[in-house]
Amino acid sequence: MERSLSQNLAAYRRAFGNSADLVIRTFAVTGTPAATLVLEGMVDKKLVAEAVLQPILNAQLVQKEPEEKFSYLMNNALATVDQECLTENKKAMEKLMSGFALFFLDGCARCLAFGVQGFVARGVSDPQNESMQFGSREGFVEPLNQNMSLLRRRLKTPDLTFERLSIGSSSRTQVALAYLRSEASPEILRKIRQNLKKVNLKILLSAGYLDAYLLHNSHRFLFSGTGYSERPDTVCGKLAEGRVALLIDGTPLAVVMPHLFIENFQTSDDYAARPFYATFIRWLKYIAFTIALFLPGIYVAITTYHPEFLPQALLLKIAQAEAATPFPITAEVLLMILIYEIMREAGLRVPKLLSQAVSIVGALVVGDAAISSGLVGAPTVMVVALAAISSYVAPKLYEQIAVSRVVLTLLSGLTGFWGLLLGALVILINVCAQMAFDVPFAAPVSPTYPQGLLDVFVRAPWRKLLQHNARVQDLPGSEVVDANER
Amino acid sequence: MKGKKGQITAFQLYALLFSIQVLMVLFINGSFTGGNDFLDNTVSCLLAAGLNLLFSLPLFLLYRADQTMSIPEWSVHLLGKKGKGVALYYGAYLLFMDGIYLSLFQVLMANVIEPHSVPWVLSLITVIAACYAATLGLEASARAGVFLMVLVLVGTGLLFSGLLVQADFLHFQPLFIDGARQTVQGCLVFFSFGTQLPLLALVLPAVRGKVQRGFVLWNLLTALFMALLILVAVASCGDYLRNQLFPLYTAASMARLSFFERMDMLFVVAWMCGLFLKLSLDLCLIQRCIGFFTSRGKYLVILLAGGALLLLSQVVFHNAEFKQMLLDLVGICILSFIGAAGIPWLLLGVRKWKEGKADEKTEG
Repeated sequence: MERSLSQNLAAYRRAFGNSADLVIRTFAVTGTPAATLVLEGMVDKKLVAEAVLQPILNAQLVQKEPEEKFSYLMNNALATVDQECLTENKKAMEKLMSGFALFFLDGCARCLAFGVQGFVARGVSDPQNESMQFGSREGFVEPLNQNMSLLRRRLKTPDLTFERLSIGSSSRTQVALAYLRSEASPEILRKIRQNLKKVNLKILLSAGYLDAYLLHNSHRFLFSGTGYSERPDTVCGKLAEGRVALLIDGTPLAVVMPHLFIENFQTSDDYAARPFYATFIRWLKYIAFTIALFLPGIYVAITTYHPEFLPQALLLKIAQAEAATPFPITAEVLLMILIYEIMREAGLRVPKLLSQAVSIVGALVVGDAAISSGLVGAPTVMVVALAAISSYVAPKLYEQIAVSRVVLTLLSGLTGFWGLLLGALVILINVCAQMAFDVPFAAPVSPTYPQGLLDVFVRAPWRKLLQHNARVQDLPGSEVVDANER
Repeated sequence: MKGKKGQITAFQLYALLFSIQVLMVLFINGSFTGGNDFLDNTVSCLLAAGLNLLFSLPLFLLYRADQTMSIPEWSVHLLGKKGKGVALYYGAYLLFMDGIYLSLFQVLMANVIEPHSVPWVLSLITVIAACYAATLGLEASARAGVFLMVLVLVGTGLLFSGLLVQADFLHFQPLFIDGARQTVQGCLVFFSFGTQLPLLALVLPAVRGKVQRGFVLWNLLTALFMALLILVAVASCGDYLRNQLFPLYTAASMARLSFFERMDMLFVVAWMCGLFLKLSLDLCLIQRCIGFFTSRGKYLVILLAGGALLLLSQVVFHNAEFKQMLLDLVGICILSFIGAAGIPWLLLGVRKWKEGKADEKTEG
């Protein structure tokens, strides 16, 4: 920074290319030229006037030297909580772009930054993709600070720590690592920090951008070792198990690490419901996942290669329905899956006003016209529809299910049951090979942790769960070695 | 128990070997075991378990001396560069045995389960899947082995129940009715086709936990399991199994359990899981054996080994003379004995001799 105010202001005007939203207000502080800089729309104007400008302009200054005036204002006159003295333009610009106001005084080679953010943000609302029957209705929102407060409100312990970082050479997006110091593994934390430092993105706009950086070789595996949650209560539960959460400014969700395969089937509702019902729901999810992934493949394999596996009555029904259709069953199933995926994507992207029209057209075309015109058999539609509905029971796995379903159906069409079985084995070994931050992705099933299974195949009562509450880094087979164990 | 990169637990190892070992009992028939008294093979299983225990002694003696060295590493340690030949032997042995298993799979598909299928296509996709699994390493196969062991146990459990419903004690004939020859031959079949000791020779340093106690327990339980499977199959189907190409498959296809009528599916699932695990584990170990000669091109080695395996299985499957030559029990027995006990005994002898020589020098 320069001592001259005009030079400093010129530097900012140059850096922002005389951008329309850069507001510079110049005034004099007992004869010394001064200025405040804010970005329009990023600050609360009332707060700037009351907490910054008014105290500066009303201050009774007896000092003559600019440096002395600056120090007096900084230490005695200003009334903002979040205030910082900066000497580098780069840091000051980052603050300015994060909604801070900057105060410059001629003759001083430093400036003051005040936290007076007041940009428009969405209020805390129900999480859209992770609704719950019994839990809180609060979900993460876009501003980072608000998300941090949502966690802090639920974990009132000094053990909860946030670490702020900035990612993206152009976007300078603020992110925060959240963890419980006594629970999280220092080794996992070190790895996450190290991996975040390696991020060489220009712009960071959503959590998905970071997946490839956070996990080594993540592209080799079908499933991700990082999980997402829109719910502060779910994230708090994960933090208590030794996991680390990453909050990203502008993203209404948290990235949770390490994430294990079995967590895709666990929801906060499971822990609020009665154990027998939660166990029933858990099994329902496993069955639905199996149906979503394998049913089209099994249908193709059995009807094309192994019809003897079906009871005679069922076989006759299917044969009757398929006799009039022009395509082989494999092509029929693939076509229906394709149509369904197109409809789903259209429903997702289309403006909400039109989504009902898309649903009606889809239901009429697929559900009725395709069958009555004899293009597709009714059993095929039923199988694909059942598989499609089942895939929403474990929504976090939708991407994997959608792609694997097509591949498995193709394999079944080519080689029957053998291809399907081999495809399933390849998926299994892919899951087993993955390590999420040195914790086996398939744990606690394999490597087996018998006590951990109390929250996998059943949902044991709380008392039992608490007796065997293991941190994620302590699961068997975990290769996380912390400093004290080395 | 905390993990360590590249290491598996004893439980994972034996779960993996269990699924592989059960694979063997699924294809034995009269022509392999030298007679049609299927019941005699229950004794063969138990005798083979005894042989395994006996022949595992040198292997475990070397393991106790240094738990970080595999048999090829011992060989290089004791014999220098010439010792690398041992790694080559184990690699070639596993490739050969896998070729036989894969060709038997094709025989099962083409003759019994799916006469209209194209066996080489099935073998091709099996080998591709196994190659992929091998590139993911030993730990991946070991973790998957636990899942598949449960699957195999549940499947065979249902099969047991289905067969037991139809069991009739009249199907049992006295043991050794045609002499003990078939029992002995069956014992040799079980010993030589079960490649577990050569596998242990390569994999032991990567295993942590109670390896020796685990081996004894696994060996006995697996033998009992296989014997029980044969016993129940005979109790259910009796003489009908005598001339079947795959007697246990036949028994499985005859089993019924309430509304569940197609038990042969369970048989096929167990077979496929076992074969997939065996091929992926062996390809991974073959790559390690080749690693003694070159440290480059891990994936290429696995791919080439997979290609060789496919080629060998096609030759065995299509050429009757080759099949007869390669499926010669005496030959396979000798090869297995060399891998299981011959090389470890030899290395143990060299070690003793070298130690004796070193002692003489110190005394001198």
